[in-house]
Amino acid sequence: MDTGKRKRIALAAGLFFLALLVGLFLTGRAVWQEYENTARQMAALTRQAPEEEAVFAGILTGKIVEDNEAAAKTGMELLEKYGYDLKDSFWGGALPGMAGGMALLLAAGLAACAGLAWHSMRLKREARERADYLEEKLKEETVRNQKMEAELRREEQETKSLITDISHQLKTPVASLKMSYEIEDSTELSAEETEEFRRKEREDVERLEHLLQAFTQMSKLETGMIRLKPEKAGVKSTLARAVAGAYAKAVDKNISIETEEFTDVAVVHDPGWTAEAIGNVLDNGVKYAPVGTCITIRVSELVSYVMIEVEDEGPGIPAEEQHRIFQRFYRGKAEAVRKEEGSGVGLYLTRRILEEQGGTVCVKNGRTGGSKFVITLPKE
Amino acid sequence: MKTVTKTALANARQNRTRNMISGAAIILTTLLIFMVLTVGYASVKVRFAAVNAYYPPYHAMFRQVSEEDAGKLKSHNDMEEVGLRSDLGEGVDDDSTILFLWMDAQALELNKIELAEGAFPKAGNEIALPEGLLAEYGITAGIGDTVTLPLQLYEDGGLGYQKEDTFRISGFLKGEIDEENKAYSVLVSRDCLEQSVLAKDREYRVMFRLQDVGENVATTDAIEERVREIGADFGVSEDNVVINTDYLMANYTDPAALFAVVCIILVVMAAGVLTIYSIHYVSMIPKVQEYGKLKAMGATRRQIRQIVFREGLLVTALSLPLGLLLGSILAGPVIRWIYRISGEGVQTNAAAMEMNRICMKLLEQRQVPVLYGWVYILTILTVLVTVYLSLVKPMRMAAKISPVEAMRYQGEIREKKKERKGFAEMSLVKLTRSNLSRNKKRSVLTIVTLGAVGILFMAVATVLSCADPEEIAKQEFEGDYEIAVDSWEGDKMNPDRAWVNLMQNNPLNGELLEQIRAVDGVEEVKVKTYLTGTLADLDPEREIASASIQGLDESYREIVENCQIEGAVTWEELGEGEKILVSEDMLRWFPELKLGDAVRMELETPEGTVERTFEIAAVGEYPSAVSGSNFLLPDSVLAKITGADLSDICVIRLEEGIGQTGRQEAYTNLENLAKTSVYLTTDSFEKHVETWETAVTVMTVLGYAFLLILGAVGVMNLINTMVNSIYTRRRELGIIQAIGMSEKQLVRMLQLEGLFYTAGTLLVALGIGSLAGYGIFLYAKAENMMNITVYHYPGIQAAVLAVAVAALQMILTCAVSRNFRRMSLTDRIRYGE
Amino acid sequence: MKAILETKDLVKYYGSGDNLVKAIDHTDIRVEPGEFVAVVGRSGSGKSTLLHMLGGLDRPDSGKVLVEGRDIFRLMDDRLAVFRRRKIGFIFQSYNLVPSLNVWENIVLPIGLDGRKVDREYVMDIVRKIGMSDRLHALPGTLSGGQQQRVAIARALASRPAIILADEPTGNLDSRTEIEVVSLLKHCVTEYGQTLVMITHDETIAQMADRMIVIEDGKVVRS
Repeated sequence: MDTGKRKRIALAAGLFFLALLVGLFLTGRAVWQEYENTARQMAALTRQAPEEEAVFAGILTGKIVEDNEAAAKTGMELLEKYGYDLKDSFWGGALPGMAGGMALLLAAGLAACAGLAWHSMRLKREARERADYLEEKLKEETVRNQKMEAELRREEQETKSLITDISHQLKTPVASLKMSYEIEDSTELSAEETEEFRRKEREDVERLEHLLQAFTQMSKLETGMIRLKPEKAGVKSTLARAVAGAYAKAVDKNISIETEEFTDVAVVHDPGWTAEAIGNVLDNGVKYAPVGTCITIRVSELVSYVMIEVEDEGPGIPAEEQHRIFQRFYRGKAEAVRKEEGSGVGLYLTRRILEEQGGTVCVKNGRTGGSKFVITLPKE
Repeated sequence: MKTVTKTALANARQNRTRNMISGAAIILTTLLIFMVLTVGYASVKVRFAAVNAYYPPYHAMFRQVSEEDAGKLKSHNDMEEVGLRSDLGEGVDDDSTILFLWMDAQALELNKIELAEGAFPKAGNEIALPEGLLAEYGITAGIGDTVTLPLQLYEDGGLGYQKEDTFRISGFLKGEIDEENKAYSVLVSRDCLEQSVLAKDREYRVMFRLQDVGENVATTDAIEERVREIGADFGVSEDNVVINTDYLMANYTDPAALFAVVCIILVVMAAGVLTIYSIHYVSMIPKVQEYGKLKAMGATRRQIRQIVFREGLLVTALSLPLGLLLGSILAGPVIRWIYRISGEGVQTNAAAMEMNRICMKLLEQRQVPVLYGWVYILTILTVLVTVYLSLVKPMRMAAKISPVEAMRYQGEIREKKKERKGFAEMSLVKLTRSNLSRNKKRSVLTIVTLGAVGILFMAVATVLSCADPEEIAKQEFEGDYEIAVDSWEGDKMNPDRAWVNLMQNNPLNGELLEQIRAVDGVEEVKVKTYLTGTLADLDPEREIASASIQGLDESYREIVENCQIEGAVTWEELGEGEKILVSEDMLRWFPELKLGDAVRMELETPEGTVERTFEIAAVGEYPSAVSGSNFLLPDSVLAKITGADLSDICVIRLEEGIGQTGRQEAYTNLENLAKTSVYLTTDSFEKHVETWETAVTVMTVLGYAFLLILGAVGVMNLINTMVNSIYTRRRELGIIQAIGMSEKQLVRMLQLEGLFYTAGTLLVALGIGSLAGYGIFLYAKAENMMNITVYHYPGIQAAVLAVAVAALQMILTCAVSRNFRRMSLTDRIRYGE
Repeated sequence: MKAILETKDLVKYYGSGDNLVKAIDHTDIRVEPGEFVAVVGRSGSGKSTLLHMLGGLDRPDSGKVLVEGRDIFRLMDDRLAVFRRRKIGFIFQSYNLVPSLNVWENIVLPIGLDGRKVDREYVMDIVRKIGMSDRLHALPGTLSGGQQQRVAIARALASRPAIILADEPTGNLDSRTEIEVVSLLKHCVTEYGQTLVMITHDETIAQMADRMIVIEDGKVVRS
């Protein structure tokens, strides 16, 4: 019970008792007045006719009584002669006091009853509401449990489909290799032809290697073998790691990666995996941007997040594909994209890593027609 | 221009509800102002007209003017109307007197002599006389018949020999006859006058009205002065100059009453103005937004002003005439009703009754106009000015800030508060509290407006509660019945009425007193004696007050000793004859008087003027039931000054519990006893009670009707505030509902707000109102208004007020919230702009 | 698993004759628990109306809205309000907050209306997440748009509803604040296990959702 309620109850109780006291007081006073009046009457009567003292006493105390109807009537007529009727009888004497006192007591009693009744009704209602509320909460908990079960089952499914997908993806380069071998075995090839086949086989193997690497990473993450260990560390070093990873390929295509100057901010993140995630984005940019262009990195501090923008001068991503690129195994439909090597997994990984840490990633159209990736990481 | 008007019209149609409320308020205010002004002014006008119809409307009269001078006066420039009258003689019979006189046409008019039948005497021995005269003399005759009447011409200041002359009746005069005095006036022709009296002996009474005297007579002094001057010019002695004070006094308007009326008018106007203003103030937010939009669209300031005015004027143009029309229709019946009700109660004063009757007749015959042009003009001006003022503010607001800010205007939250302590836990009650504290100014304005009406209500209720007709009558009148000597001073036409004369042959003598005591039912008879004269030093001309002393018997000892508010004197000390008790009114009229001063009086007795000096030993405050005189003394002291019978008032008290029939019988008997002398007059407690009952009734009805309309105006204000406060919070309320407030909670929140307003209003109304009522009671008591002396708290009215206010709030809240809830939630959120 | 939010053949028309506007035209939608769904469409496509229906703010002309399998429009107005304040948190584009209450009071208002006591730990946690711990006593008039939306988010989360419905919550914000607000919203919803349905006309924001529903002329075009 908080103080407000307590005060109110105290007030109500106080009022009730006050009413009670006043009622009792009025009644008591009325009774006393009645007695005093009788005494006065006695004195007055006796003064007029002292010898009748005993008779008067008898009348006033009720011992001597005129019993019949006629007596009452005569009396009333006599009184009326002197101007005293029913109305006066009411207002004179102790009756108003008594009536008032009684009324007050009654009112106090009724009020108390009403108060108690209302209070008990309220309690009942509160209890009912609490019951309803608990029922609802129970339902919600059940739903949540169901969800968790579903989640587990989903993961199971996912793992299964993952295996299916990987094996599917691996099939192509393996098949290509196999075919190469078979042709070499069965056919006489010229030196040039052999050279050509070798080259192709090397490509296939590289491709397999590439895929394997990506798949390994992804499955580790997917199956929960690797856990992210977020710590509060400066974002600058992480960014440096990411850039370093993509540097070699950038130099090959004469693409410059420029980071605008910023003050280091401490962010809660797993430096290794985050560097990987950002690295994927950079890789993407380097892969599809034309030769001699520039990739700009901008870091700014928001209220609760750190925002990292990676903008390239590449062909950009069409609007209808923008939300698809983060999906697993998705590869863009544009010519330039088809041409390049890619597993369609990089950006998916980036998203998973960032979102696990409470960050986000999305892509917008860049100022010069390229793409701008916007990454956020929470500061706390 | 047309676009402007169209926009104004469109606006008006859109804000239909708001404009209807505004219109209703304007109608009510107009009605109120109009009615108060009209009723007030018309009453005054009617009274003047009635006075002119009842009293002879001449200002003054000169007596004993010679024929030559009379002719000259007729052409005096300062005279507006002059009438001549000449008395020929009298005819005396056993108990009746006939006065023969001649009047010219103007005199007939000025004296209001009217014909019932026939024509005025033109020639020869034609006469016009009252029909009752014939009945008195046992003669039956009609027009054209001859009658014989006794006539004694005036000669040398006395009456000549009795003659009997024959006259021909040319007409019968209208009017009541003085039955008690049995005096009849008979008009004769000019021929008769010329034949009977020689030119040089003829004396005229010249009655006249002065020019350039308006209807409203502030003081009679100026008139008196002028009249005396003219008299002096024409050799009329001072004694022969008679001022028609009755008439002049009747035309006199009490400045206090005028002041009261002006006050009421100002209050009404203020209330109306306040309401119309606050209605427009409260709807200021949407208005400012509108103006912002207009400005953004490129309207110039002038165009905006025009749109605003045209919209406002449109509403006014419809409601103002309606209010005036309503008022015009109601004014007549209301005034007539007031007079009818007053007429039913006034019974103590024959003159007042007659006046009332005439007022009613005038009204019914539409002889006095009830509707006056200037009232219309004043009302229209006031309302227009108010509407203008209330439209100007929002416009000025919008002009100051940029259009965009104006469009987003949400009220005058000048961001004074940046922070708020707030509550840790939220609930409906706490939400309501924060709502109320948000716009404190508007909440306070609403409560004050309603509370003001409540205060007025309580004040009026207190006054009416304290004005218990019985209590007031008791203050004015002692005992059950009164027989008094009907004397007055300074009446040159009736010098027999002077006290000094009457005391010599006092009708209230011992014999009569015995008869009074013998009447069945009479329990107690007390006699107060009386002596009067001039205050030689203070007021020798008797302009302000006279030395009127009431002599009281031993039974008044306690009253005399307890009524003293300054100084102290015992009954015995007063009995010694050196000291005197003076009424507190005297100190007001003569502020230089103080305790211990010696007052020199010249008292009139049959033995001549007796000079006496008294020391003011005490100042007393006594009600008119005790005495209306300026000084009090034991009657033993007065008896020592002169031996004449100074019995002035006989106070009769009937037996307790006598019963209605016994009472009536006793009254009839007493009245018959009083009728034995012309110089006695009667009065009863019942008459006073009845008069006061009527007065109180009229006041009650008028007071409450007035308050009802004021209350309606206040209610309008409240409706507007509530509607607006909810309307402007549409969006906010919608969003709070979206996040989970149920409709029931919304209604409860609105009810809580309403409760707050109710509690606030009642606190102001009952709290301050009760105090104000008490204050007014004290003021009335001090100023002796309506003889109020006992304080009664208007408990019933207070309870009614509380219940009415509470009920009103609840109904309003219900209605408003139901209206609001009809709007779907999404609309509230969406259109909150 | 049961969908947490479902509509079946929902219809809402406004006006009549020539002025007939088909705000929702026989629409079926399904949202799974824990999903972040973005509802995209041009102005006037009926997105807001749909959201209002989902939250029980407006009654449809025909069709059903099922929340946790229950047809919400079978409830009486008062029960619907109770349902709303316990199951759903609303975030509007603007004017979210009660101007006369300070930040803290605004946040705990739905809890108070429900007659429940505030779980201070939980609410302070949210307040810290949105970064307003030092401005608890400030009045909404002194807050920037972004700050106001944060408070609105906190309010929507404080009563622990199962579903959060946001009607263009970033419509009035600049791009940086926009990203932040959406990131915040997404993060909180994931952490506390709630379902989020957000209306936006910005397809960039829509990217961040698990799923996108495109509405055109009251019909679902893509899902």
